[in-house]
Amino acid sequence: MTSDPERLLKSSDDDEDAALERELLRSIVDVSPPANAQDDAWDGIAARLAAASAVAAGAAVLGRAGTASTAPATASALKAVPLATGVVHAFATKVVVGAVMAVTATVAAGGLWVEYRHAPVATTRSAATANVTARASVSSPSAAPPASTPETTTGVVENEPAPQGDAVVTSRAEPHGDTVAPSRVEAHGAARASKPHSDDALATESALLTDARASLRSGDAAGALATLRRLDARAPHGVLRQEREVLAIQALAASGDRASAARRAAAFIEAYPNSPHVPSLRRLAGSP
Amino acid sequence: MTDDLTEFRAVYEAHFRFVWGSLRRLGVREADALDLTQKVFVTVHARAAVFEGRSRLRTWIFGICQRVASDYRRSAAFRHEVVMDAAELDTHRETEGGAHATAESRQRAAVAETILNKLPEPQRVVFVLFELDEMSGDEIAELLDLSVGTVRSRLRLARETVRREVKRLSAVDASARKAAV
Repeated sequence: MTSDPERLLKSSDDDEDAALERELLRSIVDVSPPANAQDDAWDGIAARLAAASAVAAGAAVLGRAGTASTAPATASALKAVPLATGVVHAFATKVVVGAVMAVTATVAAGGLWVEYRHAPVATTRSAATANVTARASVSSPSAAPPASTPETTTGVVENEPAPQGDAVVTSRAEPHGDTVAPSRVEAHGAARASKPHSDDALATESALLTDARASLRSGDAAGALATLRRLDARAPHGVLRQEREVLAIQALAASGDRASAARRAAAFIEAYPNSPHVPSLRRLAGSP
Repeated sequence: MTDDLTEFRAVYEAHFRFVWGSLRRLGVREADALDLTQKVFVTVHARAAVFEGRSRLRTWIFGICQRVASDYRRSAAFRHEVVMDAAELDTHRETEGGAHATAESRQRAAVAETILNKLPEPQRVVFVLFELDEMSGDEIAELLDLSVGTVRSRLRLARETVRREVKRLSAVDASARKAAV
């Protein structure tokens, strides 16, 4: 077994070309992301996932309307995504079912169901392709008129949509009598026809969140809070409310209002005990 | 149902730097890395069903990065900008206020990227993973699901091309180096 060659950057070859080569390579060694890129990227991802699940729910509605036989699958179609290796099959079902229902609803080609369901190992590709098809077809206006797209995204995107906790957390923003218990989101989510949550709304929400974060980062806590208030006013039922509340708490702390920050951090932790934000909020709330 | 997003978030947290770095390694400019990182993770989420644990999660995610980066590099916008605007590699970083990206280092990086862009994709991947990420031949073989022999031969070919380009660079325009130093 031969071993790896010496790395160019470690080479002590003092040939001119080798030196230039090292210099060039050294200039691109560092590819670490800038500060906050991780949070910024997450906001966008959460928004896109929310949009996708809204579309899936739309597909479910259409599918149910189209064929009674697909109705039992609706619940699994609305299940969010398990990523652990052991449980990915549930998601496979979601993707395939979602796609098939979309296709059934839009093209009325029941045969595809069989094709996708029973495709052998090639399911891998079919599922992916089908998923794309689902999105493409459902997002076309004729297939899914915006008015019929239910807002099921809240339950799916928020980690722990505990109704009472949610109310506590967003109490400052506005009363919304439209909080949904997680179990009901799953059971009736597709049937609940509340406001449409368009991609535009998600983009706006995501953009305002990013603005608020940028303000906070540049030391303008008051500006961040103002942006967040604007966001609350414009999108009271936004899908990134956890992100929003965490930012508000950070901004409050940064503006010196530690008491409010600690109070709202405690409320958040109670409402979303499993949220990935909890550790940092605990630190924030616990610090003097 | 609420565990799933938490789980996905955990995958995100664990792989964010890896995805970002991989995309950058695969030729995505920093200004575009945020957008493409999002694209990768949305794909990871959407295609979780396809994963099925047949390979390591990291290997699978890297494969997605490769596809996303390769689409990106083929895009007309990218090609155009690389030619027209190679010096603006680090606009994003600059807004962070870092002294990281001086004009010279940006220019050097642009030249380096231009050279790497001349490599066929499979060679480029092996080259950057070995030379810049300091992964071993075995690790690369595992990540890319290749034999170590293939990894080494791609590395050798990539090195030959890079060296040839470096020679050309220093021969064709000796002053370019002075400008870059």
